[in-house]
Amino acid sequence: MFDTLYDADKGFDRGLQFGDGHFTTILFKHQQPQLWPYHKQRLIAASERLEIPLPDRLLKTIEDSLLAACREHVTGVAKIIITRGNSRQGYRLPSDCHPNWYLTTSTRPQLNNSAVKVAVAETRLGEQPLLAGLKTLNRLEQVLLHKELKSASFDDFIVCSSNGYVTEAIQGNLFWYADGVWYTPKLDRCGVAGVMREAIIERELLPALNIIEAKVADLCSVSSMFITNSVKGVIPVSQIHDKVINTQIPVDLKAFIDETCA
Amino acid sequence: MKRALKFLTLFLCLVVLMSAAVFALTQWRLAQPLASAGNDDVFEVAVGDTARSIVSRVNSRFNRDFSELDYRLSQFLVGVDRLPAGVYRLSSNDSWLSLWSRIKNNEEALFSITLIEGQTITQWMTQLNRAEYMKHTIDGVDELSVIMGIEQASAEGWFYPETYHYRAHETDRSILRRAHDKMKTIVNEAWQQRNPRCEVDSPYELLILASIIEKETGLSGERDLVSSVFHNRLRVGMRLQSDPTTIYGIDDFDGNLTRAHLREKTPYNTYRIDGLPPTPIAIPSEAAVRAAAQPVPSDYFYFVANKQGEHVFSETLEQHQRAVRRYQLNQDTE
Repeated sequence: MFDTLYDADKGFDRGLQFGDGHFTTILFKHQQPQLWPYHKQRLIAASERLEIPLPDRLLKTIEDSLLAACREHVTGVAKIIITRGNSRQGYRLPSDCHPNWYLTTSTRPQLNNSAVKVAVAETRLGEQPLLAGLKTLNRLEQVLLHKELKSASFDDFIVCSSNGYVTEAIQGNLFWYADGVWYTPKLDRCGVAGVMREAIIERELLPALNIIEAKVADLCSVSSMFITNSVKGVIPVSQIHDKVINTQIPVDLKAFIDETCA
Repeated sequence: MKRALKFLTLFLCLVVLMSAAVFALTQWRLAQPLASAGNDDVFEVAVGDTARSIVSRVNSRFNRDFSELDYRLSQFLVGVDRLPAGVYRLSSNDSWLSLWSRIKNNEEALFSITLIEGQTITQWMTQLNRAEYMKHTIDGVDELSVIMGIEQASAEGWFYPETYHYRAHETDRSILRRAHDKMKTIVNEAWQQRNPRCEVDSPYELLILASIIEKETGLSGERDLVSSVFHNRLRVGMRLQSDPTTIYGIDDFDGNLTRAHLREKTPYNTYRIDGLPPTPIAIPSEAAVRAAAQPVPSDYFYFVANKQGEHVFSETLEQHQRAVRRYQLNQDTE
C-alpha cells in the first residue's frame, strides 16, 4: 500500500511520517467557503510558526482549488492539509522544501446543535508553547480523549492541560459566563485556537470577553457555557456533570452563527 | 520381526511413561508453594511486561533459583503470553499455578480506604492523596464542585462516609463520585421524609444542619434531641451558637476556642450570624442526615456536654447555666 505513497527518490510525506504539517476544516454553503479569511489566516500563521514555506502563488492555487470544489458540491466540508513535503528518512529538514498540500471534501454532518452534557476529562493535554494554538497533524490527544469519552456518559469534555489549566473541548473551543463576565481560555500552553474562536474575539461578539488562564476551580460559578467549532457553530452546554446551566446564546453571536453555519 | 515389534512396543511404552513423568514433575514443581514463609504482598504486571520478567521478579522476591526453568515450565504447561496488566496479590503460599491463574483471569487485588464522617473534605483529600495504588486526578478541593457537578461552589459535606474498595489505578475521582452519588441519594431521601418540625428550606440546608449535628454529638441516642434544639432555635429565630461551626470558620484553628474567636464575625460564627452557616462544616453520617430531617418534639434550646461525653439538655437559659456551672466549670464557653 505504501507503493502509492512512497517515492523511491523523495521518500514519503512527512505529514504521515511525523505529523509534520497542519490543517484546517472549512464549512461551505451556497458554494462559498464560510469564514475563509480566518481559515486562510490560520494556514498562513501555522506555516510561519512551523516554517513551512507557503508562497502566495501556492496559497492562490489552494484557494482556487477550494473555490472550484465548493462550486461542485454546494454545501459540505472541505479540509486543507499542508505538510512539509517528502523525505526519505529522519527528522532532518529537507534543504529545499517542497510542501505538499491536500484538499478533500465531504458531505456536511447532520447539524445537531442540541445542548450537550460535559464533564472534566481525566485525560490532559501536554503543554507545548511552541505548538500551542496550532492545528497540527498530531491529534493523538484528541483520539485519547475520544477513547475516554467512549466509556463515559457525556457528549464532550472540558479538557485541561497537564498543569490543570482549562483549555478547550475535545474538538472545539470553550466560552463560559460567570458572575456577569464572559471568559475563554488563553491558548499559549496548548490547545487549538479555532477559527470560530478567532472570529468571535475579533468581531467582539461577546461583550468584554476575558481571555484568561483558568483552573477547574474557576468554573464553579459558571452559569452558561458553549463550545465553538467552525463546522458546527456554537454548541450550548446544558450540564457540567450533574449541574444544570443556562443554554441561552447571546443574540449577536446567535445571529453570526445563523449567518455562517446554519 | 516379532522381536522388533515387541521392542518397539516396549520403547513406545517407555516414551509414554517418561512423558507422563515429566508432565507430572512439571505439574508438581509449578504447584509447589513459592516459599515456605514470607509476608503477603502485591506485585504489578504493567502493560507490556513479559512472563519471563514476571518470573524473575517473583523469584527474586522469594530468593528462588531456576527462573529460566520456571519460565519454560510455565510456558509449557500454562501458556503465559499476553498477560493482563494489573496489580495482583502475592503470598508465599502461592504456587506458580495459582499465580498464573490469578493473572490470566485478571483477578486483581482490591484495596480499601475508609473515609469517615465528621471530617472535612480537605481531610478526605489528604487521605486520598496518600492512598496506595490510587490514581490522583484532582488538583485540589476547590475543583471538586466542578468535577462532581455540585450546585454549590463548595463541595463540603456532599460525600458519603464509608469504606470504599478499589482496584489499583482507580482514580480518586471515581471513589468520590461513588461517595457523592450515594450522599445525594441519602439527602434527597431524608428531605422527602422530613417531618413537620423540620425548619430548613432545602436539601442543601438539611446537609448543612446534618454536618452541625455530626460535629455536636457522636451518640446515636442524642442526635434527634440535638437536632430538635437547632430546629427549635431556627423556628423562633434564635442564633444557633454552635462551637463547631465557629471553629470551621477559623483559619488554622489550634484547638483552643477563645472569647475573641466567638466575637469575630465570620460567615461560620453562628454566635454572630443568624441561621445556618453558608456550607456544611464536615461530612455527616447518614444517621446525622436522618436526624436533621426528623427532629423529635422537644422544648429544648440548650445543651452542654457532661463529663461522660453525653449532653445535658435544657429548656431555659437559667437551667442551662446551672448545667454549664456543674459540668464545664473550668471552661470559658458552653
